[in-house]
Amino acid sequence: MIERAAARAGPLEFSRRVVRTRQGAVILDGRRRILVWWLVSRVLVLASAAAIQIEGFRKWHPSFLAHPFVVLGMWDGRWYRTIAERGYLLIPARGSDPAFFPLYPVIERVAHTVGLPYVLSGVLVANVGFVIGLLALYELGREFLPEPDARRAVVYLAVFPFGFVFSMAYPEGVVLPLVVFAGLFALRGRWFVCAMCAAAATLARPEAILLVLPLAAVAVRGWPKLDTWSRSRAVAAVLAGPAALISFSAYLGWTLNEPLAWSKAEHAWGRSFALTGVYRAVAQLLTAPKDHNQWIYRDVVFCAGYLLMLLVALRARVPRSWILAGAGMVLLPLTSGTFTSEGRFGLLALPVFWGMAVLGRRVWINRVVLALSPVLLAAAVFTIPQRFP
Amino acid sequence: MKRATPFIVGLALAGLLAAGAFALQMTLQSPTAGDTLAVRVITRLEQIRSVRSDESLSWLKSVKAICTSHETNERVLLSDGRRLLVAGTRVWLTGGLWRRPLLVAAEADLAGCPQLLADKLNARLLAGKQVIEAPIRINGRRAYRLRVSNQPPIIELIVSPATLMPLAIRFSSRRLSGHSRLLSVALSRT
Repeated sequence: MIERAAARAGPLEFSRRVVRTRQGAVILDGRRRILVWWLVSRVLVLASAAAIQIEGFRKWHPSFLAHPFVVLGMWDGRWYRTIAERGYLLIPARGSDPAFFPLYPVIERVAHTVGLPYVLSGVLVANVGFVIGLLALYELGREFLPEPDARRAVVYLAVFPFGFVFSMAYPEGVVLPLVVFAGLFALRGRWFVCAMCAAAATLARPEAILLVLPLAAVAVRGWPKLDTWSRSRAVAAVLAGPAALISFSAYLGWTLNEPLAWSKAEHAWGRSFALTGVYRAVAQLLTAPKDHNQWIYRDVVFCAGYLLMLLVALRARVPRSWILAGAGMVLLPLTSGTFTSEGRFGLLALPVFWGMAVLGRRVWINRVVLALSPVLLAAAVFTIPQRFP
Repeated sequence: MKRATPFIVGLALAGLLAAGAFALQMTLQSPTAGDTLAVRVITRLEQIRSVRSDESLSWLKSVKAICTSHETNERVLLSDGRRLLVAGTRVWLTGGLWRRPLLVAAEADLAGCPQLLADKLNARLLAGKQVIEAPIRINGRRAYRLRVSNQPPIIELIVSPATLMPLAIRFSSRRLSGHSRLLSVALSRT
């Protein structure tokens, strides 16, 4: 049968079909493995969160049946819930919710209308978004790296110790697929869908505005071959993030009479962006023990690790526009004067995980990462009641 | 012009996206009139430097109080010589005759300390509970009544509708009830 197929197709075409079939099998196998690792990592996170709640923490013992996964709805999750329930309210000189971007509360609100409690709907949306994001990241990674590296990067992200955030009622689980799809659709020339993803990502987390860099790079590279209409859509995709940011400002101006409410709320939260912020962030490390803020060193370690992995990714010839965007996601928050939450901010710096995957080409490194990361991931969940991510 | 066409059209498309994003955000609730008023009251309270009040609590003798705001705390001086320290929503008796903690907390609430009131009002707002109660009349004039506390005891702040300056406070728990008239309020220099 094979000989007849070969004879019909011609030897070259037959070889191409065999290669495509084998590649297809490899990709299918890669997706299956990613799904397994996603499932394993999320079971670890959810089981740890359930264990914390059933055991009880501090003086609070909320019933797991009445309030499932309340641990995963803590910290910023409470603010997103407040926005979903009641909208925005700027309270001067105090931490208030305009510091939190609107897309995730909008999605929570929609999920809540089908009868799910807010925390559960937030956790569900985050976890579903995460698996979609992982599968999409595999596709995007294969554009820049060999298949084994692309698959390894996704697996590492799935079991990354700080990756418990992707299961919390936080927007990261939603932003990941949006950021990845924006990059993927740009590479495939589907500019309008790319624009929608970039706009939606920025409407969920402001650092997604850095997508401007890789999207502009793809647009510039492909510009000579694009017709006028495609060029227009490419321009729209590059401007989509800033447009979404402006729309948020316009919305705050309409509902609160304060277009800069986001900035004012950030200021009240102790984050004011300035170039001297980096100096203040470093200075904070010196006074951290005295201020009982030792947790800050956790974020410093992750920040350093992220920057190192970006260098590895740069050496592995991951496109510089993506490296720059990733560096921006890691370094720009430092201008607010603190390393706080750096561990979480770097989760969306995709080249970090491509860099990790390149390092993981060494078998012993790969084995250590896959052995240690799931344990650290489960352990990290137990830190949630003590410290916000 | 032909070279500029993709940029002009692209900008217009981005504008459409922004409009769509705006419409999506419109599905969120807008703040209620009560919440907006509560925020304005908090803003006013933040501007107050000191308050003098005349407190009356259950069976106890009336006392006069002066509450002064400092950077990290508020200090209350009572006319019977007792001194209270207020930090956030916590209160300590720092001088004078000992009183039960419940009484001390009630006296701090009735002293009209602006930061204490603002913190409690803020907590109630964040908890999503109704802040504005039915208006009342003081000396024949209409005034706003705000529920300040998030949980028992019930603490109500009465403010002027025109200036949002605090006029009086009411306190009610299972064992105690009281009220205070805020005699004078000094604003911070801005």
